[in-house]
Amino acid sequence: MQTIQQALKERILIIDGAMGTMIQRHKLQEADYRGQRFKNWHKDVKGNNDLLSITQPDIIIGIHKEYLKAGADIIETNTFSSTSIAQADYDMQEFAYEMNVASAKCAKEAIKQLGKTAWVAGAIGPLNKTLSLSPDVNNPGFRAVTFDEVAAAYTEQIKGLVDGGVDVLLIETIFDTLNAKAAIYAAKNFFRKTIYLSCL
Amino acid sequence: MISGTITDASGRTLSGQTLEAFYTSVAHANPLSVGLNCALGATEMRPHIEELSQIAGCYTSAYPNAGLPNAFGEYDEQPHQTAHIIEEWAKEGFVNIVGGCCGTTPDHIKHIAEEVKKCKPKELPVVEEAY
Amino acid sequence: MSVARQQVENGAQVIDVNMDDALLDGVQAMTTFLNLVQAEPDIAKIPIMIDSSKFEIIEAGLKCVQGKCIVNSISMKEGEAKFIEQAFICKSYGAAVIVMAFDEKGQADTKQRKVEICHRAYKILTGQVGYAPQDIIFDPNIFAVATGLEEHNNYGVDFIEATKEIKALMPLTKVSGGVSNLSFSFRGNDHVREAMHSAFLYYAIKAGMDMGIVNAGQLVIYDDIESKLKQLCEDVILNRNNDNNEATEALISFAETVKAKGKEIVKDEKWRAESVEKRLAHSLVNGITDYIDADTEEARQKYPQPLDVIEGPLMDGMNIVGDLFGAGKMFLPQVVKSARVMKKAVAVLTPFIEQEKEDRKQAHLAAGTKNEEIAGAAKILLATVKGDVHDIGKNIVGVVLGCNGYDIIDLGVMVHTDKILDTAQKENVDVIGLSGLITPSLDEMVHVAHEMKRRGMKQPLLIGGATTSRMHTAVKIAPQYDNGVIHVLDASRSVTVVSNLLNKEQRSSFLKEVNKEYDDLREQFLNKRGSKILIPYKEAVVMKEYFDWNNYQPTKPAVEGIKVLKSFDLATIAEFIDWGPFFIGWEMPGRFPEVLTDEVFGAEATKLYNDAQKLVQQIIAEKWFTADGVIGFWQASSNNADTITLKTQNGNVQLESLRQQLKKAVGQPSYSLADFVMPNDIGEDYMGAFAVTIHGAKKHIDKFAAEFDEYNKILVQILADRFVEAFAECLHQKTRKEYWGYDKNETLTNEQLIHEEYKGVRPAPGYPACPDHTEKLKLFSLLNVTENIGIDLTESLAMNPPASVCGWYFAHPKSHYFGIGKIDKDQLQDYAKRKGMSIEEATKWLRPVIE
Repeated sequence: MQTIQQALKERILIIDGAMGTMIQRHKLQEADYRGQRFKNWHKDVKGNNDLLSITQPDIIIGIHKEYLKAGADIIETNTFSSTSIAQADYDMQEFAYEMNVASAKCAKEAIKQLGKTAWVAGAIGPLNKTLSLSPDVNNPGFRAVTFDEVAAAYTEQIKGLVDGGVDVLLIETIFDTLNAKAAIYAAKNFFRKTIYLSCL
Repeated sequence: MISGTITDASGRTLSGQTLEAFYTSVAHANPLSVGLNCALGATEMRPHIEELSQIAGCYTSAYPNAGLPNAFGEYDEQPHQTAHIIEEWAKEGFVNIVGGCCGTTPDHIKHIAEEVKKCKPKELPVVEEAY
Repeated sequence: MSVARQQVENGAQVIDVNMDDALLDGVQAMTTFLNLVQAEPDIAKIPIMIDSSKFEIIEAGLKCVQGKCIVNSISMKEGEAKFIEQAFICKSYGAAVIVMAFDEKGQADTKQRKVEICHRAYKILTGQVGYAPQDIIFDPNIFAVATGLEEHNNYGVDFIEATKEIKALMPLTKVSGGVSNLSFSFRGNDHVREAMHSAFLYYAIKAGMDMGIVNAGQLVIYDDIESKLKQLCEDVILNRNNDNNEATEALISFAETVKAKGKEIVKDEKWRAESVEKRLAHSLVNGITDYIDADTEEARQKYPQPLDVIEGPLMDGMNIVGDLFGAGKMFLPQVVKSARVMKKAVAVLTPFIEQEKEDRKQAHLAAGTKNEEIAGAAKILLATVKGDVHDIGKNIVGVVLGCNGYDIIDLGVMVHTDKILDTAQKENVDVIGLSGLITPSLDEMVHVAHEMKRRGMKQPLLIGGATTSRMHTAVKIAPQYDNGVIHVLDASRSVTVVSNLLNKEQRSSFLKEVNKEYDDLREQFLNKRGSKILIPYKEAVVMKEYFDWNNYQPTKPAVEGIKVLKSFDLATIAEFIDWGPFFIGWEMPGRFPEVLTDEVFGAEATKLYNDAQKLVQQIIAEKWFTADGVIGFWQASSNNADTITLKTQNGNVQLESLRQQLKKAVGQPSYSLADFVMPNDIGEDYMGAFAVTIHGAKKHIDKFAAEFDEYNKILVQILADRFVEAFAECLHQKTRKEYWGYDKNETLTNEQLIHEEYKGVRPAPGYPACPDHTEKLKLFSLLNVTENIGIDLTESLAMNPPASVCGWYFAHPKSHYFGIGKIDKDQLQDYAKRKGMSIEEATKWLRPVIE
């Protein structure tokens, strides 16, 4: 198969569109989000789109396929919020790794079903907590989270994405560059300490 | 791949960096591509993607929202509208990877893919030997 | 935090943050402080250097900063393994690193050890860690000199020479150092310490030092150090005359003296007895600022509202000025002086007007009514386009339009298209004016017009500046934009053009007229294009100009290699000033000195000349300007075509020239600069190059601008240009008579020099004989111009400071000036190939000469 580097030399590549907009169209309810596995979960999980890769993989695979059919060369995994920090809102931090693996597999599966040449980008989102800005206006030196915590959360996400088989990592929607630097730091150290080749 | 977000017309990230500062701060990742996504529609993103494509030493990507949200928080820019603007970027040679962010659909992607098919990608800048 | 802010305000380009103190928890202090810095945009805008002797504090700092940091520092003092590990960590945060010249054996003190350690670190960092060379900064250790111990005396020299070698060996890396160490033995005597730091930096920067840690607020300008102190400092730093510590002793026993001076002026004061209105008018018409503050205040108290003063007596006065100017009875320099007075008066009134506005707003708020303040004068946006730094003409246009009651938004120089158009739309301006002096600016203007159309803008676009022309505007810019593109020849025309454009009745007929004129021009251009015949490039080469080379003996230049002339004597330069262009700058065309007795504007020209002479004397006496120059000479030969090969210390350098291709009368050669150098099959010739600049003008220009003194501001700007041209002329003469010495017995008057009667030529890259600006890059590299005399090149290859000139020297007595004219595709292709450029790039730089 052609590598993404080779393809980029030849043409403009198309990356897919919004995942959230497409999930909305399915008008899913709380029970759909929970699925069989989390039917007794102690918190509401409606809106936790990344969870659907575990509980409703067919919907996610279906959306990926629609984008592939529309002409996407790169599809993003459904992992925008799949970090232990972001998942804490649903008390689901312990499933962050699994969500990343599952989402990567959904994307790979979609490509396989269509038998098309396309690449999977592991989506790494910006987090709901930021490293450069203080949430407390009266205390500009305060931070809600530390660099080490952010880097650890990203390291776990990256491991999940790589284990699930993504082709590249995509650090996206960066509105605080220090968060992105923590993701880069995590990626660099992850690849330095494991045998994987750098695919960032 | 790295993609930042410019939040308003000032051309800065929410944390206050200019595009050039942003690129300089992440260039050590040695990324395959660097680009912009979210917060802006294609119209508002244009000057920023133009600037970034001139700064970046790697491929550039851009996947804007389907316009700016209307009064109900919905995105209503039509697929051919988004595609038309993105086609222009492609013609000007700003981009290597394009697509959509919030509010875009397979229909948007289809139109974009058709419009840019005929355009050449941005070539990677070559570092010349100093005299 | 306030110290950090003060450092930024004083011009620090990087802030070094160090929290090493026995009483502090370094990790926590670094984290807290940098988090606070990130919340202060004024400080966070410059890069941060994280400084600690403990690596854990450095890493804590790296975790707090979103921008690219510099780590200060790592070294091999605890062995290679630790060095590599720390470097890997720095790299994963994207930081640049300072590497101390320090190894297992200790800190490097000699030149040899410094270079050795740095080179070893370089190989490890680039080879094993994967560091980019440009992210490596070496600190080869600055140690204290003049300590009394003789073994310390050479520390300054060791640093400077090590720097030179490090930069030669590893050109992409940077060199830094803690400068204050140097003067450690003069603690408590800041005057001497500052002088030592400046003198040291002067030599270290020349050797290639890129940055230094120094208190940005405490650095004296090298040229401002009194000469005795300077010499003493230099002796100590360079370890000269220092046997038995003599230089050290001399510096220690040095003491300083200061002088002061003053002057008196007498004036005609009869008009002071008149009414306040008449006095204001008199001040405006005569450009007198002495009483304007008091008179304006008097008028303010007399009139019901401060705005009435502007709309009443001040505008009346300016109308007189406008009428006189329109009738040709007042001239630009006077109008500029009037504008200065007007600006000062308005500045007095502004706070009162603002206060009234605020009061009205509050009153409306209190009463719950709507505030409908209407916009005042028409707004005109002016800008010098991206890549260009020239703005004298634009400033004059701004002043003249300002005098005519328009509201001017001046965005300054090097303004990006988006900024121009965003501002125009945001401020809802009525007219946009673009200025530019160098040829690449023409393309930029085309781009602006193109963008205006894309944005669907409505404002008319004015084009001005020395390279612009009616023809170019008509052929290239006007077709890009439909709502009016008008070339404005000079400042006085700008008023008529703008008033026509803003007058609702006249606008459309005026634009129609302009469009028709431009249509005609385009047609003319196309016709003319057809009638010009270009000969094939190969034929043009055969038609080269032949000199009698066999009977020509090249003169070996007396100066070998490069010679830098710092702070050249301004009085000598002033003797070479060509005053003709000075008056053209002020829109008083005519030959000098005839212009002084001109029937129409002779009297004003004389006044202007006297003001200028006075200012020239002040510039010389108070050293406002610093004239720096660099020249160089090399063995050279041509190849019977268009390549000149220079033999330099660093190998051969090929200069590429262009050749005329227009078909000429039978037997007339097709000129090229390459023909002025001996062909290599005949023998070896010589060639030279020069670059000169005037530093220091900006400070005074800014000062006058801040005082609303447009007259003196423009005067200084124009004089800076005259000085640099005069310097080029002066240096060329010294080159002919002395530095190269091919015409030792020349005796020409200034007039003859202006008429170019000298032997040899000095054509400038970017001008008619060699229109390609990119050859300037070679010239800059050959002469090391940026490092030697501080001229920078913009992205469009304009020189900054704007008062700068560079060019090539050719000695052959038959060499002459000429213009290339148009060239054809075949030459473009050949040239692009010779330059190693793509056709597109070559086309971009040569567009003005491409047929």
